Amino acid sequence: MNLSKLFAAASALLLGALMIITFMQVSLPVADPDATNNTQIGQALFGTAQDPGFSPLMIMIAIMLLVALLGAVFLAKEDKEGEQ
Amino acid sequence: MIPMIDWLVFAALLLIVGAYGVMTSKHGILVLMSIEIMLNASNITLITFAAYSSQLHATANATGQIIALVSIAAAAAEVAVALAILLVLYKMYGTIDVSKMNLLRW
Repeated sequence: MNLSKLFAAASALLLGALMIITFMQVSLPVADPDATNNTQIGQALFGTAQDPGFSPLMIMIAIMLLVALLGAVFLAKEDKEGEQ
Repeated sequence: MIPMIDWLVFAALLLIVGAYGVMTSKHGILVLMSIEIMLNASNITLITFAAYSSQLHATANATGQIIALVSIAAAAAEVAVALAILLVLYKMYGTIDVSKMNLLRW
Protein backbone atom coordinates (compact mmCIF):
# COMPACT_ATOMS: atom_id res chain seq x y z
CA MET A 1 0.00 0.00 0.00
CA ASN A 2 1.51 3.33 -1.00
CA LEU A 3 1.55 6.45 1.12
CA SER A 4 -1.30 8.25 -0.65
CA LYS A 5 -3.71 5.35 -0.09
CA LEU A 6 -2.65 5.18 3.55
CA PHE A 7 -3.32 8.90 3.89
CA ALA A 8 -6.72 8.46 2.18
CA ALA A 9 -7.64 5.63 4.55
CA ALA A 10 -6.57 7.71 7.57
CA SER A 11 -8.61 10.69 6.33
CA ALA A 12 -11.70 8.56 5.74
CA LEU A 13 -11.36 6.97 9.19
CA LEU A 14 -10.95 10.40 10.75
CA LEU A 15 -14.11 11.60 9.00
CA GLY A 16 -16.08 8.57 10.22
CA ALA A 17 -14.69 8.93 13.74
CA LEU A 18 -15.70 12.59 13.77
CA MET A 19 -19.23 11.63 12.75
CA ILE A 20 -19.50 8.90 15.42
CA ILE A 21 -18.03 11.17 18.14
CA THR A 22 -20.53 13.87 17.20
CA PHE A 23 -23.41 11.41 17.57
CA MET A 24 -22.01 10.21 20.90
CA GLN A 25 -22.21 13.77 22.28
CA VAL A 26 -26.01 13.72 22.02
CA SER A 27 -28.27 11.74 24.34
CA LEU A 28 -30.08 9.64 21.78
CA PRO A 29 -33.51 8.20 22.62
CA VAL A 30 -33.67 4.54 23.61
CA ALA A 31 -37.13 3.54 22.42
CA ASP A 32 -38.95 1.91 19.56
CA PRO A 33 -39.00 3.96 16.36
CA ASP A 34 -42.18 5.69 15.27
CA ALA A 35 -44.71 3.49 13.51
CA THR A 36 -44.76 5.61 10.35
CA ASN A 37 -46.58 3.62 7.69
CA ASN A 38 -46.82 3.94 3.93
CA THR A 39 -50.24 5.60 4.16
CA GLN A 40 -48.83 8.46 6.23
CA ILE A 41 -45.89 8.90 3.87
CA GLY A 42 -48.16 8.73 0.82
CA GLN A 43 -50.58 11.27 2.25
CA ALA A 44 -47.75 13.61 3.16
CA LEU A 45 -46.19 13.19 -0.30
CA PHE A 46 -49.21 13.55 -2.53
CA GLY A 47 -51.48 15.42 -0.14
CA THR A 48 -55.12 14.99 0.70
CA ALA A 49 -58.26 16.87 -0.32
CA GLN A 50 -57.67 19.42 2.44
CA ASP A 51 -53.89 19.62 2.46
CA PRO A 52 -51.68 19.66 -0.66
CA GLY A 53 -48.79 18.20 1.36
CA PHE A 54 -45.57 17.92 -0.58
CA SER A 55 -47.27 17.51 -3.96
CA PRO A 56 -45.77 20.77 -5.43
CA LEU A 57 -42.37 19.42 -4.41
CA MET A 58 -43.12 16.17 -6.24
CA ILE A 59 -43.94 18.11 -9.39
CA MET A 60 -40.67 20.02 -9.09
CA ILE A 61 -38.78 16.74 -8.68
CA ALA A 62 -40.51 15.34 -11.75
CA ILE A 63 -39.48 18.40 -13.77
CA MET A 64 -35.92 18.15 -12.44
CA LEU A 65 -35.70 14.48 -13.44
CA LEU A 66 -37.07 15.29 -16.90
CA VAL A 67 -34.50 18.08 -17.36
CA ALA A 68 -31.73 15.76 -16.16
CA LEU A 69 -32.90 13.10 -18.61
CA LEU A 70 -32.98 15.56 -21.50
CA GLY A 71 -29.57 16.95 -20.50
CA ALA A 72 -28.08 13.48 -20.34
CA VAL A 73 -29.53 12.58 -23.75
CA PHE A 74 -28.21 15.85 -25.21
CA LEU A 75 -24.73 15.24 -23.79
CA ALA A 76 -24.58 11.61 -24.83
CA LYS A 77 -25.99 11.90 -28.34
CA GLU A 78 -23.77 10.97 -31.26
CA ASP A 79 -22.31 13.87 -33.22
CA LYS A 80 -23.24 14.05 -36.85
CA GLU A 81 -20.50 13.76 -39.45
CA GLY A 82 -18.48 16.99 -39.77
CA GLU A 83 -20.12 18.61 -36.73
CA GLN A 84 -17.94 20.04 -33.96
CA MET B 1 -35.33 -3.31 17.99
CA ILE B 2 -32.06 -2.03 16.59
CA PRO B 3 -30.79 0.89 18.70
CA MET B 4 -30.54 4.28 17.04
CA ILE B 5 -26.80 4.55 17.53
CA ASP B 6 -26.26 1.33 15.54
CA TRP B 7 -27.91 2.90 12.48
CA LEU B 8 -25.80 6.02 12.90
CA VAL B 9 -22.59 3.99 13.22
CA PHE B 10 -23.61 2.03 10.12
CA ALA B 11 -24.06 5.34 8.26
CA ALA B 12 -20.64 6.47 9.47
CA LEU B 13 -19.09 3.22 8.17
CA LEU B 14 -20.74 3.75 4.79
CA LEU B 15 -19.36 7.28 4.77
CA ILE B 16 -15.85 5.93 5.47
CA VAL B 17 -16.13 3.40 2.62
CA GLY B 18 -17.44 6.05 0.22
CA ALA B 19 -14.82 8.63 1.18
CA TYR B 20 -12.02 6.09 0.80
CA GLY B 21 -13.38 5.10 -2.62
CA VAL B 22 -13.56 8.71 -3.79
CA MET B 23 -10.02 9.42 -2.63
CA THR B 24 -8.33 6.32 -3.99
CA SER B 25 -10.10 5.19 -7.18
CA LYS B 26 -9.19 6.74 -10.51
CA HIS B 27 -11.95 5.12 -12.54
CA GLY B 28 -14.78 7.60 -13.13
CA ILE B 29 -17.59 5.13 -12.53
CA LEU B 30 -16.01 3.91 -9.29
CA VAL B 31 -15.78 7.50 -8.06
CA LEU B 32 -19.45 7.97 -8.96
CA MET B 33 -20.43 4.79 -7.10
CA SER B 34 -18.45 5.91 -4.05
CA ILE B 35 -20.28 9.23 -4.08
CA GLU B 36 -23.56 7.30 -4.17
CA ILE B 37 -22.46 5.27 -1.13
CA MET B 38 -21.77 8.51 0.75
CA LEU B 39 -25.17 9.82 -0.29
CA ASN B 40 -26.78 6.63 1.02
CA ALA B 41 -25.01 7.20 4.34
CA SER B 42 -26.61 10.63 4.57
CA ASN B 43 -30.01 9.18 3.66
CA ILE B 44 -29.73 6.52 6.37
CA THR B 45 -28.86 9.21 8.92
CA LEU B 46 -31.83 11.27 7.81
CA ILE B 47 -34.25 8.34 7.98
CA THR B 48 -32.89 7.31 11.39
CA PHE B 49 -33.55 10.73 12.88
CA ALA B 50 -36.94 10.87 11.13
CA ALA B 51 -37.92 7.47 12.53
CA TYR B 52 -37.28 8.69 16.07
CA SER B 53 -38.75 12.16 15.50
CA SER B 54 -41.54 11.71 18.06
CA GLN B 55 -38.88 11.29 20.76
CA LEU B 56 -36.75 14.15 19.46
CA HIS B 57 -39.36 16.76 18.55
CA ALA B 58 -42.76 17.85 19.79
CA THR B 59 -44.40 17.26 16.43
CA ALA B 60 -43.72 14.03 14.58
CA ASN B 61 -44.49 13.62 10.91
CA ALA B 62 -43.14 11.96 7.78
CA THR B 63 -41.10 14.96 6.58
CA GLY B 64 -37.75 13.26 7.13
CA GLN B 65 -38.70 10.29 5.00
CA ILE B 66 -39.92 12.63 2.26
CA ILE B 67 -36.69 14.63 2.28
CA ALA B 68 -34.83 11.32 1.86
CA LEU B 69 -37.03 10.53 -1.16
CA VAL B 70 -36.18 13.95 -2.63
CA SER B 71 -32.51 13.22 -2.02
CA ILE B 72 -32.82 9.87 -3.84
CA ALA B 73 -34.50 11.60 -6.80
CA ALA B 74 -31.75 14.23 -6.90
CA ALA B 75 -29.17 11.43 -6.83
CA ALA B 76 -30.87 9.76 -9.80
CA ALA B 77 -30.73 13.00 -11.78
CA GLU B 78 -27.10 13.50 -10.78
CA VAL B 79 -26.15 10.00 -11.92
CA ALA B 80 -27.85 10.47 -15.30
CA VAL B 81 -25.90 13.66 -15.98
CA ALA B 82 -22.62 12.30 -14.56
CA LEU B 83 -22.79 9.19 -16.74
CA ALA B 84 -23.45 11.34 -19.80
CA ILE B 85 -20.46 13.53 -18.92
CA LEU B 86 -18.30 10.42 -18.50
CA LEU B 87 -19.47 9.22 -21.92
CA VAL B 88 -18.46 12.52 -23.52
CA LEU B 89 -15.11 12.43 -21.73
CA TYR B 90 -14.53 8.90 -23.01
CA LYS B 91 -15.26 10.05 -26.57
CA MET B 92 -12.78 12.92 -26.23
CA TYR B 93 -9.99 11.31 -24.24
CA GLY B 94 -10.52 7.60 -24.84
CA THR B 95 -10.40 7.00 -21.09
CA ILE B 96 -12.42 7.80 -17.97
CA ASP B 97 -9.40 7.88 -15.69
CA VAL B 98 -10.16 10.98 -13.62
CA SER B 99 -6.51 11.57 -12.75
CA LYS B 100 -5.83 12.31 -16.43
CA MET B 101 -8.59 14.93 -16.59
CA ASN B 102 -6.82 17.84 -14.97
CA LEU B 103 -7.61 20.45 -17.61
CA LEU B 104 -10.72 22.58 -17.70
CA ARG B 105 -10.28 23.17 -21.43
CA TRP B 106 -9.14 21.09 -24.37
